[in-house]
Amino acid sequence: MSQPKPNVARKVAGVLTTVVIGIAFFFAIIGVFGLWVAIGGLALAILTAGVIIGRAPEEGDLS
Amino acid sequence: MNLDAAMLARVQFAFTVSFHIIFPTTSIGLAMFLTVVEGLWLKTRNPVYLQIYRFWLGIFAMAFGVGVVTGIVLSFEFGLGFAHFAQIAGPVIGPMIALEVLTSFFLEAGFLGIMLFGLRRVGPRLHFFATCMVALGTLLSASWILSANSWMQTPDGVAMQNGRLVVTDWLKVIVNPSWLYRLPHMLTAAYLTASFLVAGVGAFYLLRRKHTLFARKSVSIGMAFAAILIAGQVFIGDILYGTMLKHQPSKMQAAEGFWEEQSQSPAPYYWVIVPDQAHQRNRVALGIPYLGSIWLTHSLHGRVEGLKNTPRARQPAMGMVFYGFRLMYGIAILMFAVAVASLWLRWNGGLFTTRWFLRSLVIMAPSGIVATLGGWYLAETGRQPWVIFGLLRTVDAVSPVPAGTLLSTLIAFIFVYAFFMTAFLIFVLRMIRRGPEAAPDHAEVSGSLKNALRPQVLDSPTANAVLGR
Repeated sequence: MSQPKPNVARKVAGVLTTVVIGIAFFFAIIGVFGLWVAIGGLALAILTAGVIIGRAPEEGDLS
Repeated sequence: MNLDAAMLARVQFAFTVSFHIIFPTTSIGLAMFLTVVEGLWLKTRNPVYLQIYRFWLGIFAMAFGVGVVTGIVLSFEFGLGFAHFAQIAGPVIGPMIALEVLTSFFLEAGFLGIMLFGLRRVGPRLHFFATCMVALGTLLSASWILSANSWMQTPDGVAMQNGRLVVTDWLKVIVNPSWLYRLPHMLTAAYLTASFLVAGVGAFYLLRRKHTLFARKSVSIGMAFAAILIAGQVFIGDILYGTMLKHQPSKMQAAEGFWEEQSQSPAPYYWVIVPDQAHQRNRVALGIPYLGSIWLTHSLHGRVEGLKNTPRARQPAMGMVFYGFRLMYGIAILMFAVAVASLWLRWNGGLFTTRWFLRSLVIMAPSGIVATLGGWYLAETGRQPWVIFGLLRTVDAVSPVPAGTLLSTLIAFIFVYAFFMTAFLIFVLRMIRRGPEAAPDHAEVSGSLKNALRPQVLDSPTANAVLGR
């Protein structure tokens, strides 16, 4: 049985991690774990989005 | 055939207001987007921002125009279809609509001309100020209308005297129990609508490998706003859910699709139901096990209250309320997923090159409009059988107008609005097809609708000579 290429495995792991983090944030923000976790989750989500948007170049790779 | 005047009045208002809400939602969102983009252009002087501004200005102008015209129709419909409502609630609703005109319409009317035609006639800072004022006007307009509608959902500060409502406390009328939550929910919906619209058009160009720089900026700005806004919207939506559960339990009972006073434990989260209102049961119910308990009661085995907790005479029709809510909520979940995917791809440098993602953005371009419509169906059908919750029933609010009159005006509205929508879509799709390079410095005076619908006519040398360009 052939082993998956490392970059594919890393990609799959990355996608799965993103999905899990996204679901966790969604459940937190809609208040499943209480109001304060919802507020904290919202603040953390906005902060994370802000950091990613701020760090990644806007136009990306133009080549 | 016996026609029900009350039902026809409701269908007519539902049709006209559904058509109307598409345009203010778009123009409120685009006004704020234009403000941000022009601000970025002033700060950076990057010409791409000005190109984006010019491109969306024309679409904003069309949406704004159709929104104003179709909004005026609604005021007249209070008389045509709901004269008793106007008679009883006029002292409350009338001043709020008048204040909307005085504050927002005057502000918009004062600065819209500069915004549309003044890009080369006034300085850039004054032009930016005009854009800000128009955006503020749209925000104020939404505030007053949401205040009036929220008062109908959660009335406060009034007393019934001689068959009419009299205001006892204006502050309680304006800042009624649901307004503080419904206003940010609606504004965020409008900003999300614009974000997905802008990102969708950018993605469309990227898929076709056209206008690359414009497209990348559009996708980048659109998804940056969407990623932050959707998180806020989900939070606000949940807080609003709790507020409406407190003030309008019948609406939220219908929205979840349960009939029994206490649902089974654990409660599923239904996505498809075929409700049977007469027998107070679902013929078909499909859902995800446990999720109802987790999302609605925040526990693994919690039970959810069903519609039988509300007396039959006070129950809304479950089907419309349920599917209005599911439409809005389902799209919100999709928006959240797309926003998370955008952050992941942005981090990995694939935001502008991942074709499945770009295709999903194109599909999601009108998602904000559809979600907003779903939200309003939830709000309005969930309030039934009341027009003013707990105070005035819808059947007691209709005008003493023959059903035939309402039917003929409804047919007329359908034809006129179909024409409006066709013209709007042709205009917008042609602008998108022509691309940002063809966007004029300011709105064009076409002279006729025929010309407006044929932009290539305007670009011909003859037409330019006639118009002195």
